[in-house]
Amino acid sequence: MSSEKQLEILKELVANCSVGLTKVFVMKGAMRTAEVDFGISQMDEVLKFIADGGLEQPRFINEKPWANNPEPAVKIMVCAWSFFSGSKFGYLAFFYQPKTGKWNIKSFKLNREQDTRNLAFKGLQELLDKGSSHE
Amino acid sequence: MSNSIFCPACGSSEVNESVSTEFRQLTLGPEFEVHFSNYHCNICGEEGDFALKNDSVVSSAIKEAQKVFIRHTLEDFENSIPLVRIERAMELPFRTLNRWKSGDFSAASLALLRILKTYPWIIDVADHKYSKASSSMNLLQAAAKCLSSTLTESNLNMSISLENQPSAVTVRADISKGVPRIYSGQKLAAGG
Repeated sequence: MSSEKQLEILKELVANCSVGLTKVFVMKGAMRTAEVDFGISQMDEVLKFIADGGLEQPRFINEKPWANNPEPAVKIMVCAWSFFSGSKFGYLAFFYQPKTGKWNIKSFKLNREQDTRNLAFKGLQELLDKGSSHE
Repeated sequence: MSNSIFCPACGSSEVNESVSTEFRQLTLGPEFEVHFSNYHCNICGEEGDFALKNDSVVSSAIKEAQKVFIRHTLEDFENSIPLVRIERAMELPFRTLNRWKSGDFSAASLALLRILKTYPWIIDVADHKYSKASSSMNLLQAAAKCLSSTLTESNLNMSISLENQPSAVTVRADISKGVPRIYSGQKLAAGG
């Protein structure tokens, strides 16, 4: 699926978050990490955060079939995105279930992958390390 | 088993509810208890607050913890300065803090009190109309105090003095660990 199409899907999630809990659900694990990692302790607050532009610099990671899908004939894909919120580097995964008409947020947590903003500093550190080994 | 609650992930009504008690910590405030409702879907295995009960439960538990935090924070302040002085310095209507203390407060009140609790010297900065000289001096004094306490934890003694002159702020630090003494002095640009 093209990145433009993925972005459209994300925009659809964001738009539905502004509608509220009738349209979007946040699963238990995602709620727990939303609280621990981002200090957001209510489902409604997670939705408001997303709806009000909380996902800064979102970047598409991948999409995978929903592993717990009880009806494999109906293809449901889980979309994963990275985002920033200030100095925090986050990870969001969600899918849409046509049967219930609900968007389900499976993950909302800190991203354990490399924070791309630190890559420049990583390169600098490598240069410094290289320089000190020549001394 | 509940028939009226559906799993939002797969649409099944084959869900089981359980309730757990967990403890949470209010930022800078007390620990509080929350009774969480959790549903498990027997078909897809996903879990969560399918009945959407938890938000209001968490909200009221947080509100109670916030009341305790506000009351304790203001009582701590009252032990060193009158609340009316904070109100004057921060340009808040008089009796505002007493109103907060009695439970009538907003999220903004809470945010302000957390800042004041963390950086109490901001009250003095506010009292000087947030002037650059006052903000710089208070910031340097707070930094010196922080450095001094860090060194004390490392068994180093430190005395530090700050002089606010028209053209510069002079920082004089005396760090010692028994004898000999290490001495350093540095001049910083005014307002720097």
